[in-house]
Amino acid sequence: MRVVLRVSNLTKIHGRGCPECLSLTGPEHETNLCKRCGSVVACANVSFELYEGEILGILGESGSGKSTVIKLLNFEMEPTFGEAYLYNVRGAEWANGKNLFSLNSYQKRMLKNKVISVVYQNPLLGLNANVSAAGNVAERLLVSGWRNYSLINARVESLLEKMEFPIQRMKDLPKSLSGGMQQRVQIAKALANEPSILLLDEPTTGLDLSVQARVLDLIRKLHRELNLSMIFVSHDLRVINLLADRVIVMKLGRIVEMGLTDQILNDPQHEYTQLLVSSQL
Amino acid sequence: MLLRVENLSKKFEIKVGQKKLIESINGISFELEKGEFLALCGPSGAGKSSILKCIYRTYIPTKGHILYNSYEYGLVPIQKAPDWQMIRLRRKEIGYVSQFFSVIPRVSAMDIVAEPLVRYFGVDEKEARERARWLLRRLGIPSNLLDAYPSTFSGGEQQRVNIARAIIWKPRLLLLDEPTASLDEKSARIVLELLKELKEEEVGMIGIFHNEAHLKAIADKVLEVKKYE
Repeated sequence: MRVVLRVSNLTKIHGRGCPECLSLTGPEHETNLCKRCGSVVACANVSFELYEGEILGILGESGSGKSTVIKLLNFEMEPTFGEAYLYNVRGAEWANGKNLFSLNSYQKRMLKNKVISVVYQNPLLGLNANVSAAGNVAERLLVSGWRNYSLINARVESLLEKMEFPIQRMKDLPKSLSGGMQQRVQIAKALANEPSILLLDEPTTGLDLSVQARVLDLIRKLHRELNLSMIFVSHDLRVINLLADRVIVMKLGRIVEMGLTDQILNDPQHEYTQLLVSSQL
Repeated sequence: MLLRVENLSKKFEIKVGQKKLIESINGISFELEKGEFLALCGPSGAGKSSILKCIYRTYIPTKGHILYNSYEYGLVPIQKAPDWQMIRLRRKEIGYVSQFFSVIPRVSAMDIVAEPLVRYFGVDEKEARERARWLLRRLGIPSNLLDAYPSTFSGGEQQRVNIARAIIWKPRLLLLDEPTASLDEKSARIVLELLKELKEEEVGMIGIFHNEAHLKAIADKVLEVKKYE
């Protein structure tokens, strides 16, 4: 299997930081707050590989740093240190072997528009509240150079259809749509430019169970049909179990365990993972 | 040699709540050839399922070696193979039928069975579904259930869907955890018949049976697993 993304030693420290931030924080210290300088270590030395066409789960509770990893990979903030590399990703051949965090802002924008897309837990974070559902998807096409009105229209409609979004409501503003529909628009928008890598940050958390199930089915279908490589962040073991081949378990900014999903669930090695598994309802 | 297990041991170290060390299996060794069926025998709790799970890498062995002779990679030491390689082997070479139905919600029986062919062997969707239909019919699943979700099926029907999904792509090594446990005699006989056909096609198998007659009908050799003291 081919590696498409390699992340190495990804670290984000909020605050001024000190030489002891990393040695004074983490699961064994039961805190991510450096007691010497007061900085918060959101994630530290996170390293992993993402393979082509796989769903990699990141499991952890709030404060584990899993969303920080997503935000860093989506260039929403700068890492304190660490690197990420893309390998032979369609449309990003020019970035081969370059540390993504040292690219210039134009290059980062190119990757965000065409190669790496993100779906947030809160759909309104990924959507423009002032334009319709269809307008939101069209916006994404416009930034990547689509200009022909009827082509854009056709593409938007087919995307929303694929997301099983009720087309007769595509002119509605996001706030008038249900949570499940908003999430479908957000996913359509994220997929508009056919990215190779999709980052999903708790995309079904907070939805009603039946809606959650249907959105998960959609994600599974998209994964199967589009051969997307995905990172799926969740605190929910069952969701991870359903989707992911491999899973990373994070606590207080660190990876505590990584492995095949069924192995992590049936034979967890780390104390924290054992606690998570045994706390399942 | 298709698979060699040497001095395999598994202990579970429980680190939360009441901390303890649970010994599961100790010093298991055997060898399996292509087209051979090894039956694991012994009382409940002796660790028979644990052996299968170590080979499938659902469990990480504590000690010992599991050497699998892969078509794609040559000799693979399963206990330390990288995760991506295990995923690949599970898709292309090593099948596993669990004791319980592995739930894929909201997918029809036919699609559950056809999926591995389509996704990992590039078989055309229509043909894969045709083969799935044939196999499920042969296993006695009524045709009106083929499009239904197996979560609503009886235990025996779910078991047969499980078996169909694991054998439709003809793995090289097949691990069977009580494949006939929740089946009536007629269905069990069909399953044994299918397994015999796989044997003729050189599939190596390791299975756990509680029914002596089923075991005798298929096994070439038997490994007695003793409860760890």
